[in-house]
Amino acid sequence: MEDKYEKIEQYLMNELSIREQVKFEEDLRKDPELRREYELRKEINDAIQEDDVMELRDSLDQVMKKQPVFSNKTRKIYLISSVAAALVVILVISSKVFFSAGSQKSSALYERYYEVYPVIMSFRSTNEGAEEKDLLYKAFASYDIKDYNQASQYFESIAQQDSTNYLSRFYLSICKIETNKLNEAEDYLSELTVKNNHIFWEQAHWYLAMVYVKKDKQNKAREILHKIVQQNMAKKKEAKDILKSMK
Amino acid sequence: MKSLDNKIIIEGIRNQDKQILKNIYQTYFSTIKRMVMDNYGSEQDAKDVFQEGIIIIYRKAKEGNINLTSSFKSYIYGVCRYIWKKQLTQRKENTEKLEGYVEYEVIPDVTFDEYEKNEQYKLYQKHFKRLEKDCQKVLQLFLKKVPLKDIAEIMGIESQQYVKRKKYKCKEQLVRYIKNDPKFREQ
Repeated sequence: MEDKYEKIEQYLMNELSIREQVKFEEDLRKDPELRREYELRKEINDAIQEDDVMELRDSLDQVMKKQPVFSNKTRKIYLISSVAAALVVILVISSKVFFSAGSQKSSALYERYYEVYPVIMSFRSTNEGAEEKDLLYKAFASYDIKDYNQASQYFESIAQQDSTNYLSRFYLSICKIETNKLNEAEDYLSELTVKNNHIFWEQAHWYLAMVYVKKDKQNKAREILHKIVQQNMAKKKEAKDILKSMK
Repeated sequence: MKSLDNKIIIEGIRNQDKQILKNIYQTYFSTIKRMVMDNYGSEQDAKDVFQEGIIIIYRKAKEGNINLTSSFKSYIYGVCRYIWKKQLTQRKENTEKLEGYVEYEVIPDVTFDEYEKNEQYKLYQKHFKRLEKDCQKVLQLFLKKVPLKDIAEIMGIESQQYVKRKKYKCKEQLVRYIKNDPKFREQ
């Protein structure tokens, strides 16, 4: 039997002479048990070459072990506790008076932590209709070359056509930050932080905090940064660092 | 246009973008957990189902074989319900309640073959990970068709014949692990 297995392995690795190969293929046709063993070993080889799937499984393991999952109920509790925590912080801080050096400090923090959100996908392979693809393509192309005014217009048209389009609203808010239209950025980002039914929910918190830092609205920035830390969102470490620097 | 969010999710899965995976988990897991735990499952079962759901979607996305006509929430729900139903059937549990579960009524475009392949490969990969690192390495190098003398050098082994022998032994060990797994016998 061991000989048989070894033959299968040699065949799979192309280690047999042509004559041996022909003989082996003939045996495969005649012997169903050998055929089954061959299929199994071939499948195993295919499976263990799937480095990408194994990596994805590892990444998901990490994500699922590390992250607490919030049901709507617990999220509400978290929200209440984070608002309460923020109120305490606000009270403590308001007793200290906010320095004239505050705005200088804020701008340094902003410079240090703010980074424009990258284009995270390629739309080349999508099957969207030509018009939609075209708009998005132009929006991301403009965004990519840092023409944020132009990109804003494209993202705005997409957002107008579909009010539930979180992707375009999120990128639009970044364009607004980049073009220094902070009030508009704040509006878009505040909207995006209301419900967690989209994938930019965490990032929207971070950028909203950045907007508040830039506008030197320190109490509001703190409130959002605390929420990021408490709910273990993306940029938690950076949020902690900023909160420390703000003390 | 509504499907743009779907696209970013699918691209995120295809690119294994950790941030997007994390967001997907935080946004959608609680629904899957409820469905599994309402139907004889534990939280761990829910995590396994969710993980395999994402992996099946990844495989489909990689092959360009995914067609989302509904929201991603409905889609992943449908895929996970399909997986959980198959597992309940294997465990000989009643699936009647699950079949009546129409919170997000959607027919997933997952075929039995896709499900089966994923289950089999998951089993093989699980046991592959149990092998010693050297064994994993030598098998992968062989399968990547790296020349024998290079494998010997990488592995720090002088004799090429010994490398071949080691590869064979590692593969046999892997096959043994797999054949001894009760789940393999069920298949």
